[in-house]
Amino acid sequence: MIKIENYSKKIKDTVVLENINMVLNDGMIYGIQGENGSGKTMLMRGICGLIKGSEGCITIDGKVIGKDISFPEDIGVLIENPSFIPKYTGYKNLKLVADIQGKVDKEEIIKTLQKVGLKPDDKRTYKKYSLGMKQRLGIACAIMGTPKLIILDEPFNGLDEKGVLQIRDVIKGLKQKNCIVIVACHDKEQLEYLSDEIYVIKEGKLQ
Amino acid sequence: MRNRIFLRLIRRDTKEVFRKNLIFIVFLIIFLFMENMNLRNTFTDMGYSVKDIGIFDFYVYLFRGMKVYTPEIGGRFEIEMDWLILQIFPVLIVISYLKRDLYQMGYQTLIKSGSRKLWWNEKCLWICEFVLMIYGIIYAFGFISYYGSRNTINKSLWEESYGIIFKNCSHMDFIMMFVISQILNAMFMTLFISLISITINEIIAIVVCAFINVITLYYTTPYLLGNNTMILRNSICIMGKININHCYITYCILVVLAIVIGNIYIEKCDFRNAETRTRE
Repeated sequence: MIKIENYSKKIKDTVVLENINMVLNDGMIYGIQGENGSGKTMLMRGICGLIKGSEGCITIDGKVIGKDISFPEDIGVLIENPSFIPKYTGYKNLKLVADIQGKVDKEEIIKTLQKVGLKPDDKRTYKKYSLGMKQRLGIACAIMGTPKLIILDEPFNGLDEKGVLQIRDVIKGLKQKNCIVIVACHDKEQLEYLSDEIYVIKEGKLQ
Repeated sequence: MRNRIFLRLIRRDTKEVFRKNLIFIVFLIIFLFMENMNLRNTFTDMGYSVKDIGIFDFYVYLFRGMKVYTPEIGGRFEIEMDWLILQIFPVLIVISYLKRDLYQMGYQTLIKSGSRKLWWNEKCLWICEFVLMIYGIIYAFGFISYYGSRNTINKSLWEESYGIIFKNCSHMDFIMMFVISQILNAMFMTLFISLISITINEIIAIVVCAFINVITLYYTTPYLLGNNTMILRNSICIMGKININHCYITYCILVVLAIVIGNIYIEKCDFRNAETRTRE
């Protein structure tokens, strides 16, 4: 479970998040909708532990981010544009990330790549990937090993219609694994299809 | 779990830095090869035979450093590029790798490591390990090049050419000059410049590194730590120069400070996007 209590973030004199309160439960998909610059990505960064809140706190399974733990313990993340090593293949890039914790084996990486529509034995390096392929790889990185918390910021960016439907089903399937999935997206239709609950952010505040 | 992640990150960084920087390692070997050629030329120019060169002569030549530039006396403004390259080489590789690690893999490495401090502490240990490996290559090159040749220093040549007198040097002095001061200085410099690269940016870090090394041209002081790597400025070999024994504690304190400051910074900073880190 994730509890966000009175969470605010100020950067210099600009309030980017104000008094956010949310409770997110296991086995649910949460949608966050908002315009560009509304604070969706900043909120996701806060949940990941990449930024420190000016006020309030974010608690994951009883542990406060930034105090008890730096980052959520079992998390997969795609925030903004995916970023990998250009000289390596998609498989190799995922292997590098997976090797850090050692929880995800070779077969799991291969299955994940196939799930998102990428070929595990593709010899092309990341720098030769199209935008859609990069996005798929970023999603694969976030979902491999099925972590307890999955954060996907604009996962449908750069995907064609077929890709959107494919990824949508992949995300929907995560619900059965008892994960908390947080999806930020402009597209209300996609969020309504995917999410159990939708939060709307406008100018840093929850509506 | 944390220990396993720590070891995995070290293993990954060790493999990746050599894989990604193979060309720099090749450059290092070419550089050492050219230094060796220069050393041989120095010997033959002074009427000695190449057979008179021993393994320790190679290290003396490599770590000799440079004379102080004194404009009042009208000395030549001359930076020994080989000394400068040796000082800057590990720094450049490390900060380019750190930048790629933080930006390309980006937040994935940080988040998967589970702890901000773990990431920085692992990087510090890896930097020290990397410096040891670079100097391992340097010492191995000397050993391989001069395996089976004389294992004493050609004292008359160094006295004649550079005014370096090895009369009063013990074995411990040689270990300090050739190994300890070189490695400690490289560790500190690389850590310190890495700290600047992640707290400010890489360009400023490189400028600071170059600046620190260039001003050692002017000042013979143990507080400009690069001086402590130069045999030409060591009071054991040349009268009136600096006592490098004072620097070892300073190095150790500064290394610990760099690690602590890095920990404090990394704990407080925001990673707002791939290109910026800001401290709140």
